[in-house]
Amino acid sequence: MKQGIRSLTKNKFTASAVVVLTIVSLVGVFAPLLAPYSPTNTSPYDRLLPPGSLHYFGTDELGRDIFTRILYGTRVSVGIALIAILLSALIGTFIGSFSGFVGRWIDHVIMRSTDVLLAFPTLVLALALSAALGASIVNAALAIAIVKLPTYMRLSRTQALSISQSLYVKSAKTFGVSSGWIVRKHVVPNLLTPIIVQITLDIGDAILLIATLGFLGLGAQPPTAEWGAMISTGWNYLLDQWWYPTFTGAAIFITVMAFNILGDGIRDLLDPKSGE
Amino acid sequence: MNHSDALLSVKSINKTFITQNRGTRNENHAVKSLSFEIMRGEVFGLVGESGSGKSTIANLLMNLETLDSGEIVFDGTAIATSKGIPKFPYGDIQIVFQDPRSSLDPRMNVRDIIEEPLRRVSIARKKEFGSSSDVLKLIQAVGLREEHLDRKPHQFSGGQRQRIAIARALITRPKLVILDEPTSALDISVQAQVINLLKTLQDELGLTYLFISHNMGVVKYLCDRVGVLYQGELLEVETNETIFTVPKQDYTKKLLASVPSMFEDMEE
Amino acid sequence: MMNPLILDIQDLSLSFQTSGDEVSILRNVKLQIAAGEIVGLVGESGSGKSVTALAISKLLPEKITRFTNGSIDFDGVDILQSDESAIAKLRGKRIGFVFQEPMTALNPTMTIGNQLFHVIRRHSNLSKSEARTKVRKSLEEVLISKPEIVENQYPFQLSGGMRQRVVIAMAMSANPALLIADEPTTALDVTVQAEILTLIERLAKNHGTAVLLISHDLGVIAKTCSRVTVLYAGEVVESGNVADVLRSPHHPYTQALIRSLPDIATRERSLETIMGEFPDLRNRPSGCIYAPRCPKKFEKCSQSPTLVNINNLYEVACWAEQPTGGVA
Repeated sequence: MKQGIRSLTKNKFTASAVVVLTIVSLVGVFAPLLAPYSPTNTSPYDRLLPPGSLHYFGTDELGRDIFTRILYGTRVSVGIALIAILLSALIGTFIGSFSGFVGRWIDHVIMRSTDVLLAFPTLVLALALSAALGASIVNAALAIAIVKLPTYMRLSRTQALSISQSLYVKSAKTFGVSSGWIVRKHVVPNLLTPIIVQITLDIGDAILLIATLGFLGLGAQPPTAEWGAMISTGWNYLLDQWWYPTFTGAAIFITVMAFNILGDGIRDLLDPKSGE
Repeated sequence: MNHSDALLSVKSINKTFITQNRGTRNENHAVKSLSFEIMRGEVFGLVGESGSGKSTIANLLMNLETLDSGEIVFDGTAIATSKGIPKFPYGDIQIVFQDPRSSLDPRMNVRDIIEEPLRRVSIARKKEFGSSSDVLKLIQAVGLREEHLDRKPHQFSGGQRQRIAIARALITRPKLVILDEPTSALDISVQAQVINLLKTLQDELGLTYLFISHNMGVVKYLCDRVGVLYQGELLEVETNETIFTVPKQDYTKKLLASVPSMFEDMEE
Repeated sequence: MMNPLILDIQDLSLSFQTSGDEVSILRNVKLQIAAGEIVGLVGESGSGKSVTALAISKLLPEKITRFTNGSIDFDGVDILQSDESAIAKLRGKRIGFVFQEPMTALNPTMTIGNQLFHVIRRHSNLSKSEARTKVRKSLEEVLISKPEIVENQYPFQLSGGMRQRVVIAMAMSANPALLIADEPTTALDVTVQAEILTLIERLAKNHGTAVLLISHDLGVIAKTCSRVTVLYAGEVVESGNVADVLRSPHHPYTQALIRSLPDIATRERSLETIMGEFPDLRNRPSGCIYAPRCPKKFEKCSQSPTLVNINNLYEVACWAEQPTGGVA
């Protein structure tokens, strides 16, 4: 593990991604301490102020400090994305690896149901689910979790399948150990690597999805600070008050990029090591 | 060596694999009415090429496949019949596979790998030789060191990994060890070390080996008796001396003639 | 050697450069093959034998390969100085390849006949019908018994031995001057192995093709090759006539290797082993690369021995084996 982090930071790209994401996480956790203002208090006299010493990123149409709202928005946009993906990964991996290990008709049934889910474009499905469940941040998270489920089910199933045919699992069977033991000790630990890579890559995706849903009015509802919603309203002010959507957009861009670079870095790190 | 009785008795076993491929039903009669015995303390060699059924036999013996018909008797008790497995003697029969690169879980450390077979073994047995000092003795017996116990497989060479696999097979003090092409994936110089190790361990621990291989040189060196497999049938079983000097079956003759030996045919 | 050299590798040194580490893979490798000769290259894993084969036609990954010394001359072409397009013209046409696993050369989605057809057309000016005839003839030449059926089959329908015959047919189709066979029979059954080796021998003789046969199996080398070069950790330790090298080897490594084979060992005694471990190629030790494991080591071995001709094309790189006053 230690060696892993060291090798991760060898590559400058990945190292900067790690730095960025550390900052993002700290921001998310310590937002109340870092934010100079309240994210929801309106102040009509201060509306649409350009970036300055009082308001680093300016203010929005209700006079709220954009910098503060971006900081608080981290909790929603990144935090909820994290939760949604972890939920998806947990359930999806459990179902998928079970399916792959057991096989036969159970496997067929489960895989055909993932086919059904995969038939819908991600965004469309997320929109439909969100709208059906009602516009709220919780439902947005749920929608994303469901949309990403097939990815983890398929990934873990494929892994479980190849692992259960590996020679070390075959050896374990000759020892007479229980299937439960094999799944716990052999299948799951060897499964985790690609799953972790997938999670890292998907978080970026999920952030974008939440932002999109927020942009369309689904997901986080006002006055909650959420990056997508902020761009949704800010978009209209782009020409005269350029700062409004721009900083938020930059926040999304940087965070998603960092997650993607980190995911690539982890994948490169974990793959060649297992080879010769 | 005085072989008093048969440790393993394989009686007329049959195994057919049926695969369905887009409507066509494929029957592969992998093992055809096979019978042989392995005496206590001997090294019994099984030679054959692909399709001979040797892998299937290993799988049947290790309870990874079920018999269609016939019986396998181990140490006096039936351990496999077509009606299922009465009770498989886990720990008494162990197997070492060909590829040391994939027979060890890459995520486990060596100590856990070696100890894993002890899980299923009776408490009494575990107490008898499951202590950590025993793992230590075993790792040293196979030529590795204590500090290796905390490392992972990928930090070792092929030969070293095969030693770990051998240690793992021996932790339960088995009576019979099946060696499935144990040196075929190793370099020549490493092969010699592993063969020497296997020989030493057999003498010291009084083991019985079923040695499956297509490498005639190794078989000739290690095995007391040799059985020749061809397409699921056991063509002949002879002593080491006989089979390499006066083989009876045409296939055996062909097999022996095909082995390019540097000591016989040379380009001048 | 009567015939002109088709391959002349002199003093070839190359290393692989990965992030941070530079690993010296080959060092001062010398290898010569005359037209029509079958030469063996023998060594264990890490010896550099496959790398040497790939280097001949520059098939090594460009980004990490550094040629630090030496030259490769193929039939008058300076390989190391030539660019990729010039060498690409040689591959398949003047240099044929047979690797260990036939499925690395065969397209699983094309019929055998189709694949052979394309290869033949690519390297010749034959018309479509002429090429088709040649496909049939090529399959016959590699002793495939029902070529008209096999032509229309896919690789997965053939056995390992048949697939390798097809690969050999493809490799020989353009009548190359040199055939490089890297462990061509290792993945095959013993009985098939013998047939394939005999086939390679016969084809080489009929077409006058030189063969570089790479193997870790001394028996394979003994059966097929007239000369052999022994590699250890990227260096040539010994080279000469097969009969001489295998029956009375001069280099301690070759001697130890042969003695460790169980083939003629007595059952009562344990096999001879080579003590020590393979050297770390990242820090290639100065002096003789085999010295740490050598029972004949003495002071002079702290200097790297040079390959010295001890009699009639037999070369050894070992101070202990050189005639007294051994100076290259």
